[in-house]
Amino acid sequence: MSDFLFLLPLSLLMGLLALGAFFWSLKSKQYDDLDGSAERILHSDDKPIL
Amino acid sequence: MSIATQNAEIQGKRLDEWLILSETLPSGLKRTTLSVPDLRCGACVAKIERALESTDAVASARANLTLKTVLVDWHPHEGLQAVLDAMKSVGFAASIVCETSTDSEAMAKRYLRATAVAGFAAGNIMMLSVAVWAGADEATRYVFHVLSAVLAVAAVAYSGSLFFESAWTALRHRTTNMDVPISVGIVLTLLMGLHDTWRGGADVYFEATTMLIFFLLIGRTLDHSMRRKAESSLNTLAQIMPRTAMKLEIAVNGEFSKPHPVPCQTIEEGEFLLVSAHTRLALDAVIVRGESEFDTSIVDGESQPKDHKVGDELSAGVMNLGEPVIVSVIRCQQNSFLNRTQRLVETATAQKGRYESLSEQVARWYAPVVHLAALMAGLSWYAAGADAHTSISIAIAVLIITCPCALGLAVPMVHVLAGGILFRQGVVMKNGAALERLATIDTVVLDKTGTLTEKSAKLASEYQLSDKHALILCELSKSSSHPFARAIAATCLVDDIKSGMKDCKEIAGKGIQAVHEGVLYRLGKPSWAIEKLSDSTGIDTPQSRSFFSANGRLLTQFDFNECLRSDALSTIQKFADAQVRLCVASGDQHASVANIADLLSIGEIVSHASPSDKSNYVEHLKQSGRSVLMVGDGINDTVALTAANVSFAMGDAGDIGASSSDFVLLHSKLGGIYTTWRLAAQAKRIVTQNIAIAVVYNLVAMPLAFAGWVSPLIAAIAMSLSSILVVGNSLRLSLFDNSSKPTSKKQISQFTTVANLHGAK
Repeated sequence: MSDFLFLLPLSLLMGLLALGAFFWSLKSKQYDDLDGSAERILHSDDKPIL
Repeated sequence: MSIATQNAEIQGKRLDEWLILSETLPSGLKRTTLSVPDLRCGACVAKIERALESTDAVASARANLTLKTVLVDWHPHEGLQAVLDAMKSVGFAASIVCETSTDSEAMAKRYLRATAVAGFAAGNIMMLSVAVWAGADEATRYVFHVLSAVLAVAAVAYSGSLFFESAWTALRHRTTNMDVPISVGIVLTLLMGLHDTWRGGADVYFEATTMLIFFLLIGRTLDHSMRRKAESSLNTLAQIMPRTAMKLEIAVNGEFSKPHPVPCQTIEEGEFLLVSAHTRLALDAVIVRGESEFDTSIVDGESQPKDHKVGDELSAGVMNLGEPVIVSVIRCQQNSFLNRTQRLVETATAQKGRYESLSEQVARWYAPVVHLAALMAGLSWYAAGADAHTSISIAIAVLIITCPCALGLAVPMVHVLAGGILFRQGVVMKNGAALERLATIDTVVLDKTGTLTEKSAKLASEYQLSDKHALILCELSKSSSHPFARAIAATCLVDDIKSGMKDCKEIAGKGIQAVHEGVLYRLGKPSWAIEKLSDSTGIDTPQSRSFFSANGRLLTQFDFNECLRSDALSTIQKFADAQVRLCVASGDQHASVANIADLLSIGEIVSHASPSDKSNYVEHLKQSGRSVLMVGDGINDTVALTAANVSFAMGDAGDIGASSSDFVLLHSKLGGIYTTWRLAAQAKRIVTQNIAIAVVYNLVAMPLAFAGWVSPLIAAIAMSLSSILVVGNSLRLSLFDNSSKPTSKKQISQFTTVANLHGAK
């Protein structure tokens, strides 16, 4: 019982963190050009979107 | 003419218009979204960005490979020309994107966020639920239920709101849609779950609620992203109609002032406009000064350019091929030909009545049946002596087990897959319901000019000239952009010619002339090019004939053809083999329509058809019980495109055709129509199977729930299984074989694809 009182919030927190990361990446336009991002990784002089 | 050259052509003409349409940033920079249809590779992205950012005019540039656009922030004092020059220097044609659909982008992101939240909640609740099902003690179960409740309430409030909004809109308009039973189910289950959690009950359905929302949102998100992709690819099409015009003021001395650009909607009747060479007229007007030749093909479908002089009325959309003319506007934009056509389109849409898609038909009986079943289950248990709580639990179990998870995925999954397959073939599907309508067609009506035939004319036969004359001919023809001159210029092998000719000028409605070593050369209308038409050449020369002369003496003559699109014959053949009725409806003269129809062995033709004639014809076919597919391109087809059950527009018709049709052929390849038709039949089969799976699942599950045998565990398994089955079945569509069956044994001659315009004489 006492174990998962600690583990449960931890797992939920990790889930929430992932959700937050997704929200942030969506908001910062990282999903706006998926094809382009795949290509930009090969450019030496590419500037980051952020 | 390809989209790229069309765009290149527009480039030079529309700078003022673009300036008006550019957004001004707080920093004083201008922000413009350029559409670059040829942006296809990662190297292009780097090339364009580097070229743009190395010019002084550009503050920053970012290319988007998915949408084929470039977002440019530029200094207004440098001008947009520098931006376009930079694009051109690396070999890309660009045009401005007028409507960046920020609404649909925001909606797409909202769907994604809602799906993510629902997925997060469903996953975590499921994790807790499995522990409960595995046999947790009472205290643990209570803690887990409370945690699940918190997650479920958050998910329903955040993600479920999309369904609630849609359901509320439907109810307010006194209709019902799929979202009404979904919303009722979600809310009832949530309330019941909260009540049971508070009471410490054993069975709660939180995971079912969130899973339902998650699955349904996946379907909606896919559907929405498909539409958005279609929208953005249509944005790359050339915008045909100008949005600004060059307005002329009358000065005190009665002369015209210098022209200045103004947006079309601000132009009043009676005002004067300058229509320079190779621009389209923006409003209906009458010529007050000058005469010229006009390409009217997008307005009335005629393949031949027409001469107009002072006093002649012109429709918005005609292209000036010759000298600049001054016109007086006779109808403001609201009443223009284009807007009147638009109104006809609206009437046609209203008459057609909304097509009820398969999923809507299912939704119509789904809601009453499920609600009635749940109510009956509750009531019959209550009547049989169960307590109120048990009866309501049973009723809710029925609601949950019959949740439209599978149904919500059954249709969008297929449409998204089909949309993807079509997109790779260069066909843009604007909405999925069109695919269902396409599967039922038995008649195809085709426009001629620009649909069955190429937009540009071709030379009918080879010509014999001395080297000197051939050079002069090439230089003459290259100095004009008349369709016939272009066809001749296309046959020139030398690119950069300097024959040393002088006084080269184009005479509207006649031709081009120049002087070389004291000899006057003319290329144009027979009656103008040579002094006296002898009997041998014949007075009655067809309009599609040009003469090349030296000092009034005939050197050679040219005949021009309308050229069938390369895959017109094979496509028509395939439809004919499939027993589909074929008709050609065109605004062009009877002879040329009959000629083209003959080549394609199409029996039914309608010529000299106005836009309303065409749509009446389509209506007539529909009333006689046919299901009609219309294929067209110009303004004169838009009403018929809307009136037909389903419609295709050619991509090189630009935005005009695309706005009123269900499908757009981006590369203007007619073969895409047949492929889409076959895919539609396949898609319809799979959608029907999917719905059948969902219905069979409900028929099996409902009695179980009715009998009270459904626990949350069984509900979760059943829901997942039916959804997986439906998704798996939909994926079969990606096995669609594009290679068309070789059903025809007839030899298709390559030589019959060229038709003489007036061959019927």
